[in-house]
Amino acid sequence: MKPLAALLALAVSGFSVHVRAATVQGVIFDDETSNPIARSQVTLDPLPGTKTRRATMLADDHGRYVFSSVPPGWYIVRVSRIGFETGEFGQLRPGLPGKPFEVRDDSDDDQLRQILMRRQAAISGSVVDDNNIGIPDWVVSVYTARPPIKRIAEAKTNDRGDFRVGELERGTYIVRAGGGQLEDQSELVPAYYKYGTALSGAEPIFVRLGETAAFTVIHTVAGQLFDLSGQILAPDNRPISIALISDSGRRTISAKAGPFLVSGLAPGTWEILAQGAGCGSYQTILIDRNAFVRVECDALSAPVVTGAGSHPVYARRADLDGPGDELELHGQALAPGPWEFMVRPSSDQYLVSIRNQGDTTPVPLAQDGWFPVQVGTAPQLQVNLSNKPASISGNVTASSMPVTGAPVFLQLLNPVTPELVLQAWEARADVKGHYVFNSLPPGDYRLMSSYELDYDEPVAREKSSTLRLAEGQSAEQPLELLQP
Amino acid sequence: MRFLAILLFAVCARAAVVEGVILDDETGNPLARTNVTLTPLPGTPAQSVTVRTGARGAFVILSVRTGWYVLRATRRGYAPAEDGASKPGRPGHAFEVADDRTGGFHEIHMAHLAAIMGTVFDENGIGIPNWQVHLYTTRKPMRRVASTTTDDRGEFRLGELDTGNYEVRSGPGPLEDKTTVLATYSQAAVELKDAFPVYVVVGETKKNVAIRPVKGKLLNLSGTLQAPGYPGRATLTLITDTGRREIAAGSGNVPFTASGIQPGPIELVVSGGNAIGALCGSFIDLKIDKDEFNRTYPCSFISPGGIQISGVQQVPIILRRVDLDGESDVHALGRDEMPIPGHWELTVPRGDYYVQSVRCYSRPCPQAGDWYAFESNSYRDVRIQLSSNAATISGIVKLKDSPVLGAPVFVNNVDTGQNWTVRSDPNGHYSATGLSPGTYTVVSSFNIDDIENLSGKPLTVRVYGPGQTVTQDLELLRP
Repeated sequence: MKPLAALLALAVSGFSVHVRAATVQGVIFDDETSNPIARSQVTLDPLPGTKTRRATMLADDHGRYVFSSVPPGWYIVRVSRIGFETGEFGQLRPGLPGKPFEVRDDSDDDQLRQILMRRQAAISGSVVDDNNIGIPDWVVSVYTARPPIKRIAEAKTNDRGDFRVGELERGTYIVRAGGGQLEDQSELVPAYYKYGTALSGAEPIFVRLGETAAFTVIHTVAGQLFDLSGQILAPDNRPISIALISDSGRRTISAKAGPFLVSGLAPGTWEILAQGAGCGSYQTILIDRNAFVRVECDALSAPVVTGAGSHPVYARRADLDGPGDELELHGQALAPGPWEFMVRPSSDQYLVSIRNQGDTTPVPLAQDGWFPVQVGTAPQLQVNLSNKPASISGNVTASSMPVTGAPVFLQLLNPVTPELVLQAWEARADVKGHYVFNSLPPGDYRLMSSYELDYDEPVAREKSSTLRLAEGQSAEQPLELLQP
Repeated sequence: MRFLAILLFAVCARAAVVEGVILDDETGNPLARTNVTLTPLPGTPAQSVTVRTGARGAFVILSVRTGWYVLRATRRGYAPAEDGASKPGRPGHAFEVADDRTGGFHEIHMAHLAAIMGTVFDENGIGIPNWQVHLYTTRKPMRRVASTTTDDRGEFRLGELDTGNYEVRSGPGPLEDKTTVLATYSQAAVELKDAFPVYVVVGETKKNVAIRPVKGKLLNLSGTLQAPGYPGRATLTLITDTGRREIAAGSGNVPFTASGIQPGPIELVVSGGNAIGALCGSFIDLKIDKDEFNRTYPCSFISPGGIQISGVQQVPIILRRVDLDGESDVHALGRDEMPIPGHWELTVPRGDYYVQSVRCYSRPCPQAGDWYAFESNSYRDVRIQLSSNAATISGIVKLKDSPVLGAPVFVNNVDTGQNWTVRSDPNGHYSATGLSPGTYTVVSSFNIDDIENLSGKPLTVRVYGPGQTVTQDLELLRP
């Protein structure tokens, strides 16, 4: 009997282990058509305090997802897909934070948690000539309207002169047609929507998620384009490429040592980036007439980085036509010119600055944690990490009751222009409504918690808390869950 | 001096002005920077003149000699339009310029070329973004003529199309979960026979063309490119009817692996050069229906020359490459050019001669219209025989026994598919020259886009021998 009893006990024990792991399942739908969305990436994210790891899977052909063997605790289900805004289960509407839910240890959870995903925003319109005839194959650029203005997308008009730029976040944008030559060799200079060549006259376009701002008609402006001629001095006559970069795009020519000529440059500032095997150079030039430049290709050395410890250093180019792709420094040489660098330190540190060694000018403000650095042919980067990070923590309550998993938004404000944001963070409160932000630099901060307000809404700004953090300070900031 | 002034006045008095405006047929807006060509009818002793319209779509052609002319407007994205045409795309009517200095005011309406719009949907009706879409002509030989990529909503637009039937097809590729879909014709056809062709006419945009890609296995191809030793090098390009990609490049033996290949015909082109710059290459076309491993593709020496032309002096040979993914741009055969291995087509410009024969490796080259197909291998043997003893078809175009001036006459060689378009002179006389012996159809109409529905059928004319002149009067056909 004893072995049998032991076997029975083992079976019961196994059964009890089985029922302690629940199932989280649901379906992903398109908010616009209510059709299921296949192959979306679904993440089951435990709240702080729930002792398990984040799990990720792809929804199946019918938009279904099933996470099995989920330990008890509090979770958020998040779904992402190209062209759609990230969605969360329980959100009031797409774009807002979702609500956490508890997985109990009593049985399989057969509740279907469906998530509606909304398309990202888009801008469509036309580029037209003097007679409102669409101009085909014309470049259109989209810029963020909020400083620092950056070119974030590009499109080309179709046979009717129509364009569409999709996959945009909710926000305000500036749209601009590029410069170029028409069929009769007459020239157009870059022009903003609706009219004019000056940024001050541009009409910003606000788009919401799921919305296409249509009928953005850009009226082109006649003007004069210029020639840039030059002399290339490349070692060993090696082939190099020269990128001519403006805030409305770039043109690349392949060349060897000798003269070159590029026509049709719009007036304004241009960057000249030369790159060859092991060599490069960078210069800027203001084009307001036909111009001549000497382009050299100097030997390049890989950046020497000090102060980063064991943390990887990330870099991206910051040319006039927009930020480049992020890369990790592995001893590779970087083409000269404007770059941005970042280090993601551990929670007991914060990143003070990244700059050229010996640079004594004031450190420029970092945007989203990226420090701008002008890179030469033999860069020496000094990373400055501090062991005295600040932190903010507190409890989120609603009617004096803690709010489990409340979303908390934190913004570091620009000290010169407080209405502009240098960096933003988002976190969730734990099961007891407690939130923590670590590894913060000193500065002025704004924070709030809400399921229903967009952080950029004026009412949210008015109701949010502000505080100033000194280096190493640990601030306690209780938050009331904001309601509209 | 006085004599000179009088002479100048006399000359000017006999030269008229032709002016007008070009308008968008859809909006009525003027079309700036449009090319306008004034072409004299046969018998009018003048040259063709081309001007561009100004900023407001207006044009002025000065010093036009007296006679009969046709005005034609061309502009990118629009169907060519002629003054007096009953519909965009149809032949226009000729007009007379008298010596009283007024050539009249001409208003030409231009219609946009056709376009096809649609969406590539997944199995749930969600548009697939950034997906390749290809367009093929349905007439033989079926060729890929355009391609585009879907936008963030999975929607596409293919514009600048002539009137006709087209097949629309999404490209092959992997989805987010690595499952693969096959190239699929509208609406959900892997095989061409199951596809829904799309018919469009000039000025029209056909909307809501749906493509639902079909899931299926894409194939792999691996092996070695045998390139010349360093510093020579070669590239290996994989071509399918949905595009091309370079799958290997380098010197010496270069291993390669290509995945995601649509089952069906593929072409592999090797091209390169050895250390001293001598060209090499090879071409392989095959049908792939399973994964292929350990294939070897060499870069073989290419011999120069091999395309000869005789019979008429100084006629250029025009070439274009024809791969599975479509035709290349045309170019004149260079003196030392060695066409890299593969499928090519050649033609010669029309003149007062005709192409007597084009033989490839001692056999007639396949002909489609003015183009002759040939294979270029490591060597080639193509012989073009021209003859200046060309035939002519001529006659009078009449309408109820009255000659019709400026009537468009369409001549078609039913054996070769070649077409000629000529206009009758002020006496209604037309003449199509530079013809080879063969069977022709001849028709005259101002409503040529309805040629299938004309009240009468084209006349059949046989040219039995070189240099023959066949007289064939025509009745102007009307719908």
